[in-house]
Parts: sequence; structure tokens; C-alpha cells
Amino acid sequence: MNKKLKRRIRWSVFTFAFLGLLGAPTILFSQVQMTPIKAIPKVLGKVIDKNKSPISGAIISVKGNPKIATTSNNTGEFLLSPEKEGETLLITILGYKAQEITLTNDTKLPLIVTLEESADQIEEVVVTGYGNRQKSTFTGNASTFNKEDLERVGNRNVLQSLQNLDPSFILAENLNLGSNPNGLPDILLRGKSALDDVRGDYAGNPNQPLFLIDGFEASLQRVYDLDMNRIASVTILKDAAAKAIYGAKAANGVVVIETIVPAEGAMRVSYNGNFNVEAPDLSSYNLTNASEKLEIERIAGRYTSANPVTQQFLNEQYNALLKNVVEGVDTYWLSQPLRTGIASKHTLFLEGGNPALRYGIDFTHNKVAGVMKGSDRTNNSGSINLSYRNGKILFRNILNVTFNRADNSPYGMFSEYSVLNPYFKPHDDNGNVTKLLGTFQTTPRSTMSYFFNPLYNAELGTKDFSKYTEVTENFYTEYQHSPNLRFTARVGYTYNGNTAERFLPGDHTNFATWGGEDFYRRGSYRITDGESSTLSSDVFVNWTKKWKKHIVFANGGANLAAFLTQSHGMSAEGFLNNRVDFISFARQYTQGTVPFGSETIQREIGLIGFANYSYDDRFLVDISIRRNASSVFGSDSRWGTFWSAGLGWNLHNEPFFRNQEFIDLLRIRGSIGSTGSQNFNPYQAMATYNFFNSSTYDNISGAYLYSLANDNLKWQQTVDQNVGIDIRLFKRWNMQFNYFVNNTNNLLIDFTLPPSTGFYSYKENIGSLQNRGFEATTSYLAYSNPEQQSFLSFTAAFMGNQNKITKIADALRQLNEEQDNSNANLNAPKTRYEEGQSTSTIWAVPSLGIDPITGQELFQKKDGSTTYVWSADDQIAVGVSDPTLRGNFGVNMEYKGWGLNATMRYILGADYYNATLVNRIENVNIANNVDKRVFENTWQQPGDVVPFKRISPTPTTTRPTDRFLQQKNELTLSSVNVYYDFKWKNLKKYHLQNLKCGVYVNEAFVFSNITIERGLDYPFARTFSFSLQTTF
Amino acid sequence: MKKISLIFISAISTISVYTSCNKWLDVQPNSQIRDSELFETEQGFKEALAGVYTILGNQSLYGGQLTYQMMGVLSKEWSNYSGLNYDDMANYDYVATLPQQYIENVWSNMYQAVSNTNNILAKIDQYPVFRGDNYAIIKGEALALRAFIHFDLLRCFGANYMVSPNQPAIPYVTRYTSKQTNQSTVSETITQILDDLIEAKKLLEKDPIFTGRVVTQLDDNGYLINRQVHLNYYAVEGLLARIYLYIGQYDNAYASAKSVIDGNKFSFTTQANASSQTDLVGASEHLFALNIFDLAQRSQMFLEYGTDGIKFNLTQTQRLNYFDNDTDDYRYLYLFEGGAGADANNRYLLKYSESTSDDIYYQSKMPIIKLAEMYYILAEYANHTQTDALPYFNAVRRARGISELSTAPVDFRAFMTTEFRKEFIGEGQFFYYYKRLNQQAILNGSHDMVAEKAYIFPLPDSEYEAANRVSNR
Repeated sequence: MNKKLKRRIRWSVFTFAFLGLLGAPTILFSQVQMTPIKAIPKVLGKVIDKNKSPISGAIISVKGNPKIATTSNNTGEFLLSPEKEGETLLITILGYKAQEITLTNDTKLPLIVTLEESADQIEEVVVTGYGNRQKSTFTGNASTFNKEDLERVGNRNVLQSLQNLDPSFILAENLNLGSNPNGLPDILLRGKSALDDVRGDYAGNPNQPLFLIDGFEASLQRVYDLDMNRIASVTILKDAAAKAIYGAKAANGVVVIETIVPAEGAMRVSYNGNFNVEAPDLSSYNLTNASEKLEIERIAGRYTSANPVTQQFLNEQYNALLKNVVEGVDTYWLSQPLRTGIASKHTLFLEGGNPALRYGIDFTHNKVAGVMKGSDRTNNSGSINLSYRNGKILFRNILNVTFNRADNSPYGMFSEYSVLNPYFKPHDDNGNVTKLLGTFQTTPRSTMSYFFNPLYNAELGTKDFSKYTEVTENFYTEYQHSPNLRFTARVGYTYNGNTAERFLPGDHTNFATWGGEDFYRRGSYRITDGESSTLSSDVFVNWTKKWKKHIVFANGGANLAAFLTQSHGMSAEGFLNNRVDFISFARQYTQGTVPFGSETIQREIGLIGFANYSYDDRFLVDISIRRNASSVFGSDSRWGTFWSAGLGWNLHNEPFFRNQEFIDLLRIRGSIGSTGSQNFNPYQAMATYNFFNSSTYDNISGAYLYSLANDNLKWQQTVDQNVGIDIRLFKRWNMQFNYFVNNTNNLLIDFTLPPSTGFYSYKENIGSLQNRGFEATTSYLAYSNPEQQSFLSFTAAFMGNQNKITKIADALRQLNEEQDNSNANLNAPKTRYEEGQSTSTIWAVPSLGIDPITGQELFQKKDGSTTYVWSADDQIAVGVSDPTLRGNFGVNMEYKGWGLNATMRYILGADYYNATLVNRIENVNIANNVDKRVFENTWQQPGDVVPFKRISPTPTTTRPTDRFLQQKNELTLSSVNVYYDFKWKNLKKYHLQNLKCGVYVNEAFVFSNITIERGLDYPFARTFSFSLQTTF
Repeated sequence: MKKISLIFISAISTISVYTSCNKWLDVQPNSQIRDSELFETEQGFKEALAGVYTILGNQSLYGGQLTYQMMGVLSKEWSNYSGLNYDDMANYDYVATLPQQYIENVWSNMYQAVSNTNNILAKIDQYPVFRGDNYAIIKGEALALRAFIHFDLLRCFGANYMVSPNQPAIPYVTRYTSKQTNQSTVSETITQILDDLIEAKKLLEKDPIFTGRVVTQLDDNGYLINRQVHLNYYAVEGLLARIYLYIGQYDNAYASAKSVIDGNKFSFTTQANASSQTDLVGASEHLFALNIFDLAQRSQMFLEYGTDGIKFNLTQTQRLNYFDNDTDDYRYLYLFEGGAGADANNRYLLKYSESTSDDIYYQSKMPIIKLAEMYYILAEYANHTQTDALPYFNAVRRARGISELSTAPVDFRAFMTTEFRKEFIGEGQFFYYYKRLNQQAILNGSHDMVAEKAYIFPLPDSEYEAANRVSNR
């Protein structure tokens, strides 16, 4: 059995080597300039796969003399100096069949080696951003997705696709933002490792993972706007062994994005087009129609008074509205500001070149048309990718320029429409948009409430947009000193210039009630502009050594980076003429304001070393250490040390495992390490002064201390522990399981000080947070027929995590108290931080339901007694909004060119405080539109056993109670993709190399066991798109 | 040898790289200024000092609460303080919500000023950036400020010195740090205050107001011209007099007050200046006043007749009563205006109203230490030593346009109290006057001030919560 297999491998190796010798040079390099080989020349070559993508990390050695060996670099290239002529080169790498090439005088250089994938060892590489690593010898936990994977599950943006691929990568659900194309999502990887800046003076998201594009740090916005067609692969580094090389910034995980490296050859042009249709999804809304609404108002007592005069007055108002209803006025306000957004995206990519010089040029135009009229996001970008190799030296340069413009809808917020009553008419009899829809007064003398028509504003020529221009220039150089030693250096520079304007003319309904002195203040204009730049660079030494069964791979380097941001702006008022929409027409600065601005400077230095050792492909060790210093932290503890250690064991390579057929891969691994995070206010640790800019003292403008310096403020450190197992069975079933525990210590928290120090609080490293969870992915290849390129496979992945505050400071306890006393946000639970609880715990008072006699809610106090009075002290932890399980599953199939990919996403067991029930059914403002369920479920008379309190003409407040706590289970059909690949047809006669057409449906349906309004300020959308890919 | 030099060179270069790295990481923000950058110039120290004075001028300190608002209510100076905002305060209910808030603001803002002062004092010896005598003057002022602020904190939060000198009082904070400073007793606090003041006085011997050096606008942009709005040499001397009296060291109090008067640098305002509303606040009498840039507009909201809001005022009857029906008194004549309509019977204090003169000398000044207090300290000394106090009372009465006394008053204390009230109305000193005497009953008041511990504000809750404090009452 074993012998047979060996023989077969040997035979196939031989065949491929032969084919490689015969076929490769003639077929692939007919256009390449050929150099005759000289006496004992250095051999320059390149290792590629059958798709002509470079293979890095392949080991090239002289057969019979393993001392002479090298590995191929990122671009697949290698350089080897054989000692004598006629040597045979052995090219090996896991996942590919080994190949032997005998050098002769006729061998053409550069030597191109095309490796065949070996069916039984398909192993990906892990792109760490500091070179590629063989997954088979890697002890870290990382998931890698290539371009095809990303495209399979969506065509919108890379963030959306990653969410559908890896359940650990979470786009926080934002019910307000909906599908606003200009809203950037909040991203979490494996749960929270830091507390939000609870005092809210810094806008950064402390839980955001680190994004890298081509090895350089990139902003979330840049990733969001990145054209998916430019991406070659995305790797998510999750545990310490994988991410600790990014040390100080890696606590929240690292997302490494690599763009496509141009392939050589005659110029190829690829075109990729997407035609997108976005349709609003209003299925979560269940609002009353005109007659129902008026009836609810009547039942609620809006038109009832004990005073006969008032009653008459109310009757008149009621009758006027009833007249509208009878006449058939029933406006569906929700659809008024909406449209079906139609837009397209085009990408053109040119690539080619010879082994010495290669180029890639791309252009993208991407317009996203949101479902609210006039809300668009347009990106135009282009990049030039050049690489040049001369002997041992390689240069690579990527220049990218992006122009972005984001327009917000002139129709305002969607929530302005969802509150409007259906018995109002948007147009007058002549078809003109009315400004005032209606009024209401509770008594003839009371102040009048007005209902304005937001549609009116859309006609005024408001402005609400932002723009940015971003230039990214990345330069790489590499020097291969000897087969074992390589030096690399990189410099990256990014500049972003941005501006945003928002103009509301005086006639806007916001100012409709401004009279008297304020009349001339109507109209507002806010303008801000800013710029940011990042300069970073690093140098690395890379050393590889292989002897007998040992392989050592070591890396050492240093990096420097500087980040600058600056913004300024002003707001002005007094625009009485709708036609002038330039800020210079303002009457004055907005009352009580002055020009504003902000600025940050941040610098950092790092020293990095990491190494990997493997013995016989069985025992694996990874270690890394990084020293980092940042200007963000106190001058006495600027340097932080981050480290990781990982161990792995390839059980399938053990002799005792080799004698069976069903287990192809069995690896267990574990890692531990520490990383830091630094999305914090860059000046938090310094003693800085501000000036009293509106006063002087004896003709001197006074300076005062802004904060208390903390010279000891140090890095917030997260210790990650991860154990995992990778399995492949029967050559078709892959499984991976990970369990992790992350402890974040030295949590940066505002620490309360006695005011006798002159300050109330300052930043301290206090508190800790624990995250524990598991994640699993599996894929099963049910059917595969390579000859017909047909297959059917299923994928599934899930993860669950719990976070727990293990220690907090008094400052947070005080914050809880302040919140309890404050009146803001009365009707929704507030975030409270308590030891032993999660950061996502929902706090509310336990409810015993609505008392059928009185219609009031009965609460349970902490001592077990009951009361009608809500008290903040009775709040308990009633649930956790993190789901117990979240995941995705999907099916991928292709048959003779026809393909289907479908992905579903789900969450299970998330506690949810249903704000829709509170705001639209129970706590309703009867002046606004309400949910239909108001009718049946609210208390109306004694004896009613109903879930909701009585409705009344004046809105009542429902304080947080567990009556509205529900458990949410949700299933989303996140992406369906059907395509046809013309590879089965003869395209040559059309001068095409390939052609692929497809249809996508994104975020088509959401099935939820609870009814909530989704998309409050901006509705959610379903996206349909047609895509076309071709190369010629 | 070669090896050693190689090691040496690499060690040197490592060190230099390391230090230059640290320098590179020391970023200088643009929207804020690092203290190391601010204090690179003398101007920075002046700005930091001006910052401390500006903090003191805050509405919750000498801009309002510690002068005419809260302190006015506590000493029962006002007939009316409309609205509910001061009702609990008037009943000395310091644990009620609003009084708690006012008191906490006093505490936290005063200590904010202290921490700003301490940073100046911590840095002043590190940066040799001063011209002429400015090092001594700025340091002297900063030390005096620290003492001054702590003394008023002690007058608010400390027990009476004569009665319970060993009662824990306030922390005397001398460092800009997050570490809490231990509470001192009343007498320990006084000792520290006096230490700072005596050092300040020594340094301020270079003060132009003392040396007589003429400073002009050409001279350093006129810095050191307006010494009365800084804690100058005489202000420190006057403050010493005030403190010595407070702790019952009459001889020292006399010497200090006498030295101020004999210095002859201050004079009472004239009738002409008062009647023309050029100098309502008495600028020439100020040993130390705070320059509060918007004092006129702000005080108008609380003191002047006209606009809505909380108004502190006197009834006409009370005004007459305060001034012993002596309608010739310049203070009676020129410092009040009448209301109209429902407020026709109310009289509104004009002390802080806008001057009719353009001269900034008369504008935006909140008196903190005045010449009259020095005369009253001399009078107190005379009373204590059983000598003639009349010349001192008469000096003030003469300046205010009222008849001089020929015979000593029968009840020195009652007379002193009414004289004091006339002089200091709306300045916040009257409450401390009662406190110094630990007087059980006060004019217009019905509370037993001593039994109710009304003279001692409780430390704010936030201080108890975050620091290890014992009760000060």
C-alpha cells in the first residue's frame, strides 16, 4: 500500500519534472528574453502555480547537497548559486508536488518552475504582513481568505464579505444607520478588549482591530472604500502567536490585506463590472394607516376634555382630520424619501511585464446609490504597481490615489418620516409640497405644536456632503544577500485631505418657528476641513536555515511611524435667501461659537524579533518578542514589551499515524502571548496647558492646566491564550476548532481623584476584562469532479464569546451613579459597569407586568416586595446583549461552468431590549405615528390583561424594565450568488481569455423571532447586482 | 583593543539612539501646550500666573459665590435673594443639594487654582528664563497665592482657630500630583500659610510697588504696572495682618497693618470719583483686587435692577438701617440705585457696575484686601490693648463723608460690626468677620451659628469618597 503510494508519487514527480523541463520554458516564456547559461552561473528563478501566482516559501536546493538551498520570496523569486554545472535542483513546498530540474547549458534563465498542487496536501499560507508562513508549520490561529472567497459571499465591500466568512469578525449591528452607504460600521474581533472611553471626550473606537494594507497601517475608511477586485488575500490574525508581531496595536486582532501582485507576460486587460440595484427593506415597519391612527388618537383621549369649550375646540380639530381621512388621505410617509438606488462599479486592470520589470495599473469607478434619494457614495481610484528586479535586489512600488465623495440625502433623516401621521397630505391641491402639514393645540390657549413637512427641505437646495482625497505611496526593497539571508526595507506614506459641509437655508423647517430676534439667525452652515498623514517605515533581516530535519526561520527588525491629524472648521448662521449656498453669505458665526479645531500627533518606535522552528514537520515552535514605544503613554513608561510563544504538533506526520487512510491532517497547537492597544487620546498622559481664550488677566491671557499628567501611564495589555486543533478527514472534510481566553489588564480608565488634587479624574491603568470563547469552522466537499470542474461543498462556522469585567475602578461606579441620577435617555437601559458582569449586560428593573386593575406597571424591588414606583436602585442584570452563538453556513457549487454560492448568517440567544415596543407601542407620543400593535395590546379599562400600559395623549416614560427584554434569534440570508463561467466555451475567437457573468443578492432577508423596527435613521436595503468579469 | 573600541562605539550609539528616540517620542501638541513648552519662556510663567488669577475670578469663587452671592447670603447682608437657589444656604443647610454643589465648586475650583500654582512653583527653579527681578516677583506671587487660597479655604472649611486649633481641617497641597495630601489641623494649616507668606514677602521686597521703581508701558510691555491686581508686597503684608488678627496675634497684626498704612501707597477714593461713578469700587484703596474681565456684565445679572433672574438687594429700610440713617455717607449715596414697579422699594448695589471712565484702572476689579480693613485691624488692636480706637474708625469715616466720632463707642463690638458691614457689603468678608469672633447670633439672623456649626462648611462628598479624610467639623 505504502510502497505503491510512494511509487506513484515518485512517478508523478518524475513526470512533472519532465513536463516542467519540456513544457514550462517553451509554453510560458516564448516572449521572455533568453540568456544562455554560463559557467557555474547563479540561478535566478521563480516559482509559480498553475494560475501563474507566485509561490513563496518554496525550498529550492541542490539535490544531494542540501547545504545549497534557498527559499522563494513573496513574489516567488529565488536566487541560488550551485557549485558545479549540471546540478539537479529540487523544489519542494508543502501542498505542492516536488519537482526536480536538471540544469543544462540549454536551460533558459530565469528559470520558471510551475508547481502542481498535490491533491492530498492543499495547505494555505498565512500572510502575516511580515512575510508568508506555511500554515503547516504555523502555531498561531489565523484565517486566510483569498479573492475568490471574498467574492463568493458578496460584492459590496471587504468588511461585509469578511462578516459572512468569519463569525469572529463582527460588524456591530446598527439599527439607526441601516444601509447608509456613508456610515462606517463598528468592528469587533472576538469581543471587546477595552472599555469605551466612558466620558466620551475621545472619539476613537478602542476595540477596533488593526488593519494593514500591503504591510502598512490603514484606516477603517480606507478599507471600507477599498475595491475588492484589488485584493489578493485577507488574513485575520486572531491569537497571540499570530498577531504579537504587531505588539502594541494588536490586542483587538489584526486584519492583513494584500493587494494583487501583477503577473508577468504580455499585457492582459481585465475588466470587472457590477451593476447594482438597492431596494429599501421596510418589512420591519408595521405602522398604522390614516383611519387607524386617528382612531388610536381618539381612544388615547387626545380629543377628550372635561371643559365643554375645550371639548368643542378639540372636536373641530378632530373633525378636520376626519375629513381628510374620509376624503381618502392616507399618505405612506415611509416611501416618500426613498428610491431604488441604481449604480455601477467598474474596475479595469492592466498587468504584464518581463521577469525584471512588471507592472500593474488599475482604475476603479464605484458609485453606491443608497435607498434614500440623493444619498450617494462615489469612489474613483487608480493605482500603479511596479516591481523591478536586478540580480539580488528587488524594488516594488505601489502608488494609489483615491477620490471620494459622500452625499447625504437632502431629505434628512428617515426617522423624520416614520413619525409623521398618515392623515397629513404632503402636497397641496396644485401638487406643490406644503411646508406645514398641520397643527395641534390641546386647549384654545395652549401653545401650538406644528407638524412640518420634511419633503419641503429637499426642494431648498440644502448641502450635506463630505469629500476626501487620499494618496498612498508604498515602497519596498529587498536584498537577497545569500540563500539564507535576506534584507528588506519598506516606507509607506499616506496623505488624506478631507472636507465636509452642511448647509440648511433659512427656509428649512428646522428654523420655521424662529421668530423675533432669532428670525435673522435662520439658516446654518457648518464647514470643516482636515488632513491626516501617516509615515511609517521598517527594516528587516530574514534568515532561514535547514539542516537534517530542522528548519529555522528567524526575523528581526525595527519600525518607526508618525501619525498626524488636523482639522478645523466653523459654523455660521443667518442665511435668509435659499439661493445663496456659500458660507460667505452668512450673517455671523453661530451664536456663542468660535472657529474650532483639533489636532493630534502620535509617534512610535518598535523593535521586533520572531522565529519559527520545526523538527521533521512534526514539532513546531513559534516565538516572538516586540518592544514598542509610543508618545501616547507616560514619559516614564513609554516602552512596552509584547511577546508570544506557540507550540504545535503535526500528529499526522507521526509514524504511528501514517498507516491509516482517513486522517489526512491532525494538528494540535496552543499559544500564549501579550499584545497592547492604543486607540486612545494621544495627549492623555501629558501635562498640557490650555488658554482662557475669551478673557485676559491684567492684559495677559491666562493659561491653565488641562489635565493631570500621568508619567506612569502604560500600555493596556491583553494576554491571549488559545488552543486549537486542525483536522482533515477523507481528503474532503476540514475542521478547525479554537478555544480562547483573553485577559486585558491595566485597562485604561478614568480614575477618580479627590478634588483637592485640583482635578476630578485622570487616566490610570486600573481594571481588567476577560473574554473567553470558542470558534469553529468546517467545510465538507461533498462532490468533486476536477475533469468537469464541478464540485459541491458546504461550509459552516460559528463562535461564541462571553466577556466579563473582572475589576473596575471607583470612577466607573461613580459613573453608574451619575447615570442613575441623570435624566438623559430615560426609556432605554444604560450601560453600567460592574465587576463580574459583561460590558454588554442589560440592566433593568424586574417587572411583574401590567396590573389589570390600575393599568400601571408593577415592579419587583430587590428585597422581593412590589411597587408601582420605578427606582434606579432596583435595577438588576437581566440579560446580556451578546449572542450565545453566532455563525454562518453556506453552500458552494459549480457544474460545467454554472455556479451557485449561498451564505446565511445567524445569531442565537442574544438578549435584546426591544425599543420598538417601548417607543412605538407603549411609550408612544400620540402626536406621532405608532405601531399597529398599539390597538390590541395596551391597557384600556380595568380587567384588561395586556402586556402594555395605557396610552395617553401626553407621552409617558417607560423606564428600563425587563418586560421589554426579549431573546433574539436571527437568520439573515446574507448573500446569494449565481454565475456562469464561459471557460467551457471557446472564447479565443472573441479574443477573450475568460468571461464570467453573475448575479448577486445581498442581505436579502432577515428572519427574526422578534419584531423590531430596523433602520431608524436610514432604512436597510436589499442589494441586487449583476456582475461581469472578463480578461482580454 | 579593536574589540573594546567597537563595543564602546556601539554602546555610545545605542545610548544616543535611545535618547534621541525618547526625544522624538516627546511630541509637542499644537492644540494644547505642554508644560515643558510653556515654561520655556518668562511669558509662559506670566501666563500661568494669570491663569491662576483667572480661575479665582470664576463665578463660583470670587466672581460671585465667595463675594456677593453665597457669602452675602450667609452673613445675612441681603434683604432679598429672590428665587429658591439660596434658601437652603440661608438656613445653613449645607447638606441640601444646592449648597452642597456650591460648596463643592468652591473646594474644587480653589484647589484647581492651587494645583496650577504648584506647577508654577515646581517649574520656576528648573527654567532660568527670567529677566530682572521677575523671578523673585513671580515666585513671590505664586507662594502668596498658595497661602492666600489656603487661608480662604481654611476660613470656609476649618474650625475656628481660637476655639479648636487642633481640629483636622484642610489638606495644604504643595505639589501638582495625583497623590492625596494629608489633612492638616487648623493650626498646622496656619503655620504652613505663614511660612509661605513670609517667604513670599521676602521675595516681594523686589516688588516695584515696594521699591518704588517706576515701570512704564515701554518696560516689558507694561508688566508690573498694575500691582494692585497681583498679590504684591503690601497685599502680602495686609494678608498677614488679616491672618494675625484671625489667630489672635494682635501685636503682629498691628505691625503688619501699620506697615501697610505707613507705606502710603494706597488712598481712599474721593467723593468726586464716587459721585461721577468713575470709581465705584474704590480702586485706589485696593491692596489686592482680582481683575475679572466681565465683572460688570456678570454682576449686573445678580445685582442690578432690570433683567430677570436672581437678584441680591436691600430694602430701602434696611439700607437706611445699615448706614445708621446717615444719608451723607458716600457709600449710601453713590453705591445704590432704586428699582421700579414691584421692586420700587429695593435698592441695588452698584459697586461692581461699569465705570464711567475709560481708564482700566477703575474697571473690572473685585476687591479682596482693602485699606479700610487695615484701619479696622488697628482698631481691633486698640480695643484689645485697651487703647484709643477712635482715630482708626475716624480715618475711614472721614473718607466716607460722615461725621467723625469724638467719644469712644459704648459697645465697641456692636459699633465695629456695623462699621464693618457698611464698608464690606457685597465683598464676602462679613461672614469671616463673624466666624473669627465665633459669634453665636448674627445680625438679621435667627440661627445659633456655633451650635449649628454654620461657620464650618463640610468637606464635599467627592473628597471623602476619593481620599482618606476625617471630619473637619
